[in-house]
Amino acid sequence: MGNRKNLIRVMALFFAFIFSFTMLSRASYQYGTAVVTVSRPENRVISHQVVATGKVTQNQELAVVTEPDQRVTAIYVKEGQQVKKGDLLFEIDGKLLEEKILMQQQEMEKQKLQVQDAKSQKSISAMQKANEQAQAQENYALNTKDASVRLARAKRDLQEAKQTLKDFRQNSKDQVQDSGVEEMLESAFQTKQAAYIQARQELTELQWQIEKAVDDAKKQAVDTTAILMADLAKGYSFEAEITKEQEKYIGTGDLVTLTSGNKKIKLEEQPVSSVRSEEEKEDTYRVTVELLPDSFEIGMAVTMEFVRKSPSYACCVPLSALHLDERNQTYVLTAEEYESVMGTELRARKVKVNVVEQNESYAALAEGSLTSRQQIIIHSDKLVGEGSRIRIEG
Amino acid sequence: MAEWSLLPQAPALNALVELLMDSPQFFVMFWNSVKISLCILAGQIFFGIPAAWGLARFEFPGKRVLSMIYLVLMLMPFQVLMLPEYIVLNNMGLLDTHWAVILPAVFSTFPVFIMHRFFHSVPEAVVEAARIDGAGEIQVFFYIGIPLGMPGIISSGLLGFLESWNMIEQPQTFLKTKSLWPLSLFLPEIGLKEAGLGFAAALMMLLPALLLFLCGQEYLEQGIAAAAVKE
Repeated sequence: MGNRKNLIRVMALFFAFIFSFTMLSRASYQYGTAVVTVSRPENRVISHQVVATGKVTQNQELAVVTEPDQRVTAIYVKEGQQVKKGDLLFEIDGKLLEEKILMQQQEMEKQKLQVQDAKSQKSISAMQKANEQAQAQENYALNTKDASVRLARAKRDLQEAKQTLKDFRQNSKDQVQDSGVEEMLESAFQTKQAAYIQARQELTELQWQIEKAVDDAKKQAVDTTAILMADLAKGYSFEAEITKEQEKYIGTGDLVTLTSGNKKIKLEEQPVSSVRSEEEKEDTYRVTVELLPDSFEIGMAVTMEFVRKSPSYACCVPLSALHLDERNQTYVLTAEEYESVMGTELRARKVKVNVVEQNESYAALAEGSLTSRQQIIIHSDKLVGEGSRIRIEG
Repeated sequence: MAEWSLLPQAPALNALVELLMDSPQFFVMFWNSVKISLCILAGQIFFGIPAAWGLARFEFPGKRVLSMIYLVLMLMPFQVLMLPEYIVLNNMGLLDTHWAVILPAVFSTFPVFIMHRFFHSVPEAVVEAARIDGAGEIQVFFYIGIPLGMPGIISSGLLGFLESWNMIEQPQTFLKTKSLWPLSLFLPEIGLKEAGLGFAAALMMLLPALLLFLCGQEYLEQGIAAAAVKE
């Protein structure tokens, strides 16, 4: 009896043990299950918002320039102030100017004297140069004449030697002659030939001339801009920079909304005048909007807003639902039910999709990628992959 | 060729920890087995005891035919009864529920056969004495039959529990939803790579049956001894 009671106690303990581990294992199982947020594909319009902050600038400006080395003693206008013809802009130091003028006059006199001196120097040197040239010409003529004479003599000697050798060889065919004589004649011929070549080379060298002239002149102009003025009569415009991505969605003629920095002024449906690329900055474009007079102040910071809406897409998902695999293929994870020992559970399934268009928050997928009933995982508290166990939040 | 040693070469408790902490599926199936077994046990006691008492103590027309039917049904293997049971359960809309396993087992003939043997051995003199004292049939059944037939009842209950605890064919045939499967179907789900987990599961599956057997061992012995003395 006592034995049976103990056994019953043991059995009760065993079942209590099993029950507690049932709870523990379930808790451990749920800990490994990712909690996800899901949504279904929607019918949406993908809108692209282009927002850029720029500045109102003048279309034309005038520069009031001072001469170099002048000093401005007073400025009577402030930046942004409107002025008209006749208004005093600034004052320059008159005394300094007079001193400068005097110095310049003295310098001018000095230069005049130097010029006269240079002229006389020039004529002397020109004469010297002419004499030298004449002398050089005379020497050249004499040398050339001598060389020509030597050449003619050498040519004559060579021809004589050649004829003598020819005659001797002719005679040697008829009767036996002394071989030593032939050698002597040949040696003489070769000597005359060398002399002829030498004479010709000397004449040739005198006839070569190389001329080279280099003329390098550089001019530099320096001036100083004191004041830049915007010409209000020519109108003004708004300019802002946009990225290459934004440039796809805005073009000439599009109607934008301009809002001042303090949000007090708002102009709607302002047409874009131009969108052109910036040469100095890669992948940057400049948008220009012509403004009516008195709409904004010059220099004011203004925000431009434009929304381009696409046609309606049947299958749109939040951007957070898209992923890229190792082959750069875009895919989404859907929640799929399956039966297991634990009952009906959910797991993630990978579905490859093609993105047709997207903005900062939504992406439109190609027709047929997903059905409207499928639940797309848009957020999870753990890393989720194909086949991962999931639980929907809420 | 596999090599086995008597003592484990590198004993570890990893498989047991994995079973107890990382396998909630095991516990789902465990409690399914407990539910099925207890329901079958309760049903067999509720329906089997009166049936056994009636067959053992009363004479009525067709008793021999009925006894023969019970005997034949007891001898039939599950494969013979599978299709008729499937059709009936399908028509009743009970397929893929625990009742598909419980109901056929509740009306099993084997417990009736065992208890009938024990009820038949209750001395007639005791029953007559009770009738003389004014006890009705119900009172005789509850106050004489059941107490004196308790060894038989516990024996049949124990054997019935063991049979239902280890049942494989009926759950596999009638239960499609995995969350309804009993523990006997956990091991076939495990592969050879998870042999450690399988052995740990087998140990946990053995323990309730072993404990119950140890609890009812005395009754089994009494039952066997009583039958021998009566004869």
